[in-house]
Amino acid sequence: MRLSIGLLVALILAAVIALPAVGKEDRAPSFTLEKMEGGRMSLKDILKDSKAVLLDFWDTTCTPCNELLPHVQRMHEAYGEKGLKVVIISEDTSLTIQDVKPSIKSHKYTFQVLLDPSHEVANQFGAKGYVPYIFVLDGTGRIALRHKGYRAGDEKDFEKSIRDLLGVKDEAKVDSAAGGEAAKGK
Amino acid sequence: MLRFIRPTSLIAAALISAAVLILSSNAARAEGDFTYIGSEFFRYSSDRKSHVTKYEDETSLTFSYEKFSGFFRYSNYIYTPGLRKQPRLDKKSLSFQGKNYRVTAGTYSYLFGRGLTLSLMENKELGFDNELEGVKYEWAEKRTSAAVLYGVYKGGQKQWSKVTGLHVRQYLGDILSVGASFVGISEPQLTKWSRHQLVGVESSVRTSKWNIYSEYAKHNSPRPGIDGHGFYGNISYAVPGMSLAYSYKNYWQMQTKFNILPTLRDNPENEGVNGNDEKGYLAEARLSPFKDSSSFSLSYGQSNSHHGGFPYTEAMAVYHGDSSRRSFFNFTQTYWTSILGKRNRQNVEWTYRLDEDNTIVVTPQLTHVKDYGPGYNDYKVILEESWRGKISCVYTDERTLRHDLTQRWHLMEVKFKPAEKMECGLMFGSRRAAYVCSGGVCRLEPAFSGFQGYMQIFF
Repeated sequence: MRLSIGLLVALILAAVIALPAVGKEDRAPSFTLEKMEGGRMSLKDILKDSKAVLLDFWDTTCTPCNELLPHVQRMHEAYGEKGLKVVIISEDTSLTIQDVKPSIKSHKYTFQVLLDPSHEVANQFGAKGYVPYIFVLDGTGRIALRHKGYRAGDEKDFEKSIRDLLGVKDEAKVDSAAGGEAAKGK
Repeated sequence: MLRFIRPTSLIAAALISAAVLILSSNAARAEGDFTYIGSEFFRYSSDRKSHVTKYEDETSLTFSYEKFSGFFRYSNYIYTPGLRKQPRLDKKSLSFQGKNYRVTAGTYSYLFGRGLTLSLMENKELGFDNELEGVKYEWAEKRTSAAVLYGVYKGGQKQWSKVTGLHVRQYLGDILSVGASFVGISEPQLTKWSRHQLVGVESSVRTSKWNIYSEYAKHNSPRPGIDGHGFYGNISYAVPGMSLAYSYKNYWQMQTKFNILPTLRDNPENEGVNGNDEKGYLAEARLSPFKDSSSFSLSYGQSNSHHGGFPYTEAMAVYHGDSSRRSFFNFTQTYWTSILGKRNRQNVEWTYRLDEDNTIVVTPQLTHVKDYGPGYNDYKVILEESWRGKISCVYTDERTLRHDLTQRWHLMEVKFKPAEKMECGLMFGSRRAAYVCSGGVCRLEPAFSGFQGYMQIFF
């Protein structure tokens, strides 16, 4: 226990002394993943021509993850043309990865879905083992918001962060099959 | 606290700080970007069931500089309150990203196809970790990708298992891809080394509506006469508003430490699979017929050994309400039967938004259990209130009314975020023992009675 506490203090001291002065904190780590529809996509591809990015670590078996998606779809439709890119990163392992496309398609979602079955990217973001885990990035990859878990109402914080990055004042309304009821907020 | 800081720890801190300063100054001269993301996690727990009181911490850091990136984790954190783990640098890796390749040295996870030959991952909640420590080379060019790896698995042993692997995948046209994999494993036995190999082939067809995947693998076991083989296939049809899927598995003597075989079981309490003798199927349907986000799903599946006998059967029906509404509910009906008995469970989760800042979730659950003996009921109610995503309280009341045993458990959990980059939590009360399964890996989580507190800081 002594060594554990001692080394812990040492690491904290190292981080406090060295990292903030010299590094750029809260930057999304770079990654490349396979797309649900085939092909590959990198963080660089996602950031290209975008002012804001909503990254959502999700899996098919997680109930709060699925409760968040209608709101994510609404934001994708409302702010997509204003510079928002929405990317869902599926944490389904090899056991449930076959459910990703049926789940997304049957719900009529149209955002980009990437596959991270070995949780390597989630590990890099510090999100391994937690779903949903939401990150809002600016156009340079800086993390503007991080949020673990989801309960009804949390989407307001995500949308506010996105609107701040896009320079949009009013909450967008949209009427569509998947996002319409979410926009009406009944 | 100061008496716990040894001189060696201070020296280590100085060396780490110096390394970072040197790296950063070089970075500044090279006009590169040094970026990082990290977290610090502390937990104190005291469990009356196992009589274990412990203090744990975990520090993790991901960093990148130009084409290099790395990940380190120093930890003695183990999810189960009644177990201890020695603090150590349990994860460390350094990667170099080339134009169309990446080299990784250190600990890594990886997946070949759907895992019949190789599936390496860590799941902390289940205490499962078969990641390797070694070298991995990945290459991708237009329509071809390949990965070669070599690593050792320590697993707390004095002698380590050694794994080599090769996986190649080729796109043939726009919708068809094929792949092949080879895995060689050397494992220490009492008096000699055991060597065995797995060879696999896979194919995948992807169109806008159809996905068809198949994988076949052979396992050349070192023991004569018990070579194995395995097959996994999945076909799905998905259009906006509806999807249908069917999966089939057939495994014989396929289980190793380094693969995780698809289970084809939707019921989260029975996700385990016998990789040495099991075959079965699972059929699923999903429907979103209304102009909102509500959906229905149905599934039915069976698994059995090759010689027959009593099959495992499960049937699930799930309704998810429209989560954009102020009030919505989810309903799950699960039925399963195995050689150990039958269970019939109904689970309702009702969410209500009181106002802009407050959300209430109520989850009553009823399970009718029929094992060898009279049937009985288990009841569970979960009450949760959350305020603006910053504070949440969860109370769980569970009881079993077995004919020979009536028992009740109460658990209270509070989580709050005092700052944007900080999260704290408290848990006190008692929780019953239960199987916890995730992604094909299952473990009996022991009962807990006591107190836990944690704090996590991001930097």
